[in-house]
Amino acid sequence: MTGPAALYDQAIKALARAGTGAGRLEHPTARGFADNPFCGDRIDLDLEITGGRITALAHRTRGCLLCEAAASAMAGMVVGATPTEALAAAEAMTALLRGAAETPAALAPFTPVAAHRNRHDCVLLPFQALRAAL
Amino acid sequence: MNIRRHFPAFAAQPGLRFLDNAATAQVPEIVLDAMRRHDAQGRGNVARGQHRLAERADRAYDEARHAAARFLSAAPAEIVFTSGTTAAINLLARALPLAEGDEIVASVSEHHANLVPWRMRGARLRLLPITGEGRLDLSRLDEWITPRCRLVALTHASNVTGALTDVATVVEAARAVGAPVLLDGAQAAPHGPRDVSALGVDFYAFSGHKCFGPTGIGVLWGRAEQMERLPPAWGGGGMVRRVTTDAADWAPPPRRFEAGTPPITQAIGLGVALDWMGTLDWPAITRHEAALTARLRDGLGAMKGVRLLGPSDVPIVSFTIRGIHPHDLCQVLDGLGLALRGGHFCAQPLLAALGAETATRASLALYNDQDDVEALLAGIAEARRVLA
Repeated sequence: MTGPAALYDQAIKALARAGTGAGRLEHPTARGFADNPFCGDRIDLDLEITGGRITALAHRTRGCLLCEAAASAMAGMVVGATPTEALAAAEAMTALLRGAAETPAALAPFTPVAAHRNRHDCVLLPFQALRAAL
Repeated sequence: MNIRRHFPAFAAQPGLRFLDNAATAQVPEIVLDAMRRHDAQGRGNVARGQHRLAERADRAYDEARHAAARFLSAAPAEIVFTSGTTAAINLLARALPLAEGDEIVASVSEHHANLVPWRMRGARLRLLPITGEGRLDLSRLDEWITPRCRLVALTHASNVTGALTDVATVVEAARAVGAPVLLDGAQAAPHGPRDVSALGVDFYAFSGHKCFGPTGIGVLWGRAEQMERLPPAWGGGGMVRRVTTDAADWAPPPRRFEAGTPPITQAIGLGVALDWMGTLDWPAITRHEAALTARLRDGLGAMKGVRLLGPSDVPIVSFTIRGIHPHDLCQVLDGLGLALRGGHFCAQPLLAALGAETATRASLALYNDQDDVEALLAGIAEARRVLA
């Protein structure tokens, strides 16, 4: 599949619609923010870190469908992870966009984004907020 | 009007429907030929040599300046070549003498190029609001343009709403307090030659690449008596008359404002583009663009969840679609051969004033046609299906 059909396949749209992690935490341990000044997309991220693990995550994401899908995927990957493991997830997205052969299953729907350089920032934005929080 | 045949981009990319002309326009073969010929056969530096290539370059660069002057019905000595509209406004922002308490009156409708340079200069910036229709609100102009106003700097046509500024009203208010007027003509110039005398302004800036010329070149026109009073913005070779170890005398305008080797090839390309524009039937083109714009607005207005932003006096149609992000829409449209722009168009205060975070923009030029507009309308329907 190529073109928009690949970029906006059911898996990506399902991730965006699921909105995993959307919301806010009352008392976050850490906060992160990232925005893309070129398009106005932005994400506010709350983390609860207990016992060396991310025990809760919430985000307010205003962005394109790809950004929302990435935020949803990120939320699914990092809850329960250590900060080191969470940062590895962020690295994995960066590597995917560079054409890495191996990709975590949770990020596989984003493989077609690699071919669209102008959309890389859309899917990296949530992970930038994650890095900022950690 | 088969004007598209002049533009090799369309033959090179069959099926391309280029509707992002407010960002940059395509280039006709005549411009590409002129630049290629200069670089292949006439390359020399200007105002610096006595050999034949230097003379040829001097003549070509001067002719480009004359072409820009013809485009604006101005004098060649009032034409300063810059790298674009942004550079032109930055030049004025750097050079304009400002005293404590001086105000610059701009608007929320401005492109960042006509906001940020003034903020960087530390000027007291006052921003005219917009009306509900998306036009500049000139209803209380005398409260905004006061004797403290050092310059009125406004867009000639908005790159988001397509609204044309009521220049006559602005000039009248500015004259009443002795303030000069700068127009950002980046979005107006592509739609035909302008007469700066008739406009009554003091400075006019536009970009070559939006006027079917190359990137890296633009024009700042300044009324002679205004330019004479300005110090240089940058220093170096070509803009001085005499330099000693202790002092320097400035060259007269326009050279005073063109430090270093200018973008000679690009200026030559721009000159050819502007002269080519001068040969066209602009009343017919304006009617053509207006008809396409009207059809596009009608088609969009009939779609559920679509909000049009502004009046589109020039053929710029920005809109939002509920539930669809402009980046996603433009991505899908690209897959259908339609090139549009999504985002905030370097006009964040304007988008905020319009109550929109981001928008999608279709911007037409003389080579667009009915098929382009119908394809866009059909494409939006397809995009809604893909993104659902």
